[in-house]
Amino acid sequence: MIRLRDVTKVYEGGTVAVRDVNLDIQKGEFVFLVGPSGSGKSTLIRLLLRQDTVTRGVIWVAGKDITQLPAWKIPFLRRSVGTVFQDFKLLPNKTVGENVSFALEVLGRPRSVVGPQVKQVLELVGLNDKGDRYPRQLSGGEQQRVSIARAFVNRPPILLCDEPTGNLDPATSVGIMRLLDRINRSGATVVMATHDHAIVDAMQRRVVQLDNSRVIRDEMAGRYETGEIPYQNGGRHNGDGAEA
Amino acid sequence: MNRLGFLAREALINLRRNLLVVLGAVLAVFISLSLAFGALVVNELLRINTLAWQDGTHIIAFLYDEGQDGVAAGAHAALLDEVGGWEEVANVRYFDKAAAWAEYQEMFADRPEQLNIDPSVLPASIRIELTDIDLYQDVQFRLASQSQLIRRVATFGEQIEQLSSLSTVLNLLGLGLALVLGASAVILIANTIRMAIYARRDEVSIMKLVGASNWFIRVPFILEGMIEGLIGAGLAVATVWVAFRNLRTIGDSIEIISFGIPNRFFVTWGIVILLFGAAAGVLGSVLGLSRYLRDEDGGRPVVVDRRVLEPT
Repeated sequence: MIRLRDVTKVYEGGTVAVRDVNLDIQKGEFVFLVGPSGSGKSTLIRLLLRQDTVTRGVIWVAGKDITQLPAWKIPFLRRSVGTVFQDFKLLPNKTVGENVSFALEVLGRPRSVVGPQVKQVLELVGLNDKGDRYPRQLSGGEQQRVSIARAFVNRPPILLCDEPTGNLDPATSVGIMRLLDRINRSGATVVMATHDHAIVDAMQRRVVQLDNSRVIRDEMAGRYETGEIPYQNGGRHNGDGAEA
Repeated sequence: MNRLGFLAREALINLRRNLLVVLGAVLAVFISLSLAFGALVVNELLRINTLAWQDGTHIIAFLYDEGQDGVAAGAHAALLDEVGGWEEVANVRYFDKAAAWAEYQEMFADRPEQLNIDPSVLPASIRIELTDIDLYQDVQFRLASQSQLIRRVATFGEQIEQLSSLSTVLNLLGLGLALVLGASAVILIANTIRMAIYARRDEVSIMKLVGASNWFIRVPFILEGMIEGLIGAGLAVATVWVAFRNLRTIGDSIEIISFGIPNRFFVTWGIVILLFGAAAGVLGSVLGLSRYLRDEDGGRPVVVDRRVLEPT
């Protein structure tokens, strides 16, 4: 589903954000990107969304080399990748329902499709009775649920989450993770950058650890702290925990 | 249809949010196009009145009598035919001695002592209406070559020159003002659009994130500029039309000026002004958008020192 080969990103001024990253993420996987601030997690997510271009290397998403994607095709990439952020990125002047339907309206979906799809996804995130509320009338956890609903309403095969629980208390975070787990079990590939030890330890999913711009660990069913299986540079994960 | 409705709704939201700035842009378009349209109307009034002067006669050539002074019989008719064929001439009429006497009687009806003359001394004449008043000197020059037949040529040259130069000055002034104000209207619209983009930057970034195409993001802003231009132009057309109607009502009592501009003129030029307003709006929007919504390429490639990329 996602493949990175020798991906390096150097920002203006010579700051290396990620260096020689090789990664294979299979369809339906749930992958945590962990590591300290500045280790390159968010840069990887930006590269996967083509918000940034690689300095070197190749990234394939759903079989397409997105590093060579012309500018006019970038929106098509983003339609197949849902995004969830720490700061929710909701529109304050739109209701919950409008925030979610906005994602379908900008794609030109007919009203007959938008209504039922929004209703369905609001049920999925447990906000079916709050469609008429404004973001300011919701708790942080509920706002993040709206953000997830908006990311998933178009049923993208990939969900990228950048610290989605960063602004939430532990109990609310658990609710959000249950929701992401449910979405993952419906077949979507989820890649989540996080600092949250408890969540990573509790979920026991694949963990890719970055440090100083490099992948230093890639472990199936891992924990936040260093696990048993060290990452070998240039290694290929085959999705079942073994090194290829 | 749903997509179109969404785009139109977004454009209207933009307009509502920046009402004060939008009003400034609309006023700028309104003032510039009012001036331009007003100049056109004044120019048309001058044209109509110049043409209508002296019943459409711009030049009178008084003729020697036929059968006298070596003028052959039928020479007047031949001259009439020849002058009628000149491209500068829109219309030519023959005014025989009887018509000249009738006109003389009418002119001096209130001074009977002036009527005690021999009608035969009044010459026949040809009365020429020009296609373009500026061509009167050319026609005067051509008539001069017929000196054996033409006694004297009277033109309304001075008046024509004055009106022509007045028309030119008014046109230049109107055009200059319209250009300057038109440019300021375009710049104001561009600024309105930039402010609209800034006000909606969160929405724009979310639209990009969920995969809206750049054109889908741009269209509401372009529509916004077009609506501003159209409203300004519509107000300009309406204002000039109302002002002209009022002027005509007052002017009907002034017999020497004709306000007979046909409605066709207002319809045709009204449409042109509306299209111009819409085009100015679109141009302003495109200028406003160019800096902020370039085709996203995921960031410019950075020139990197090769040593940075070497394995560590």
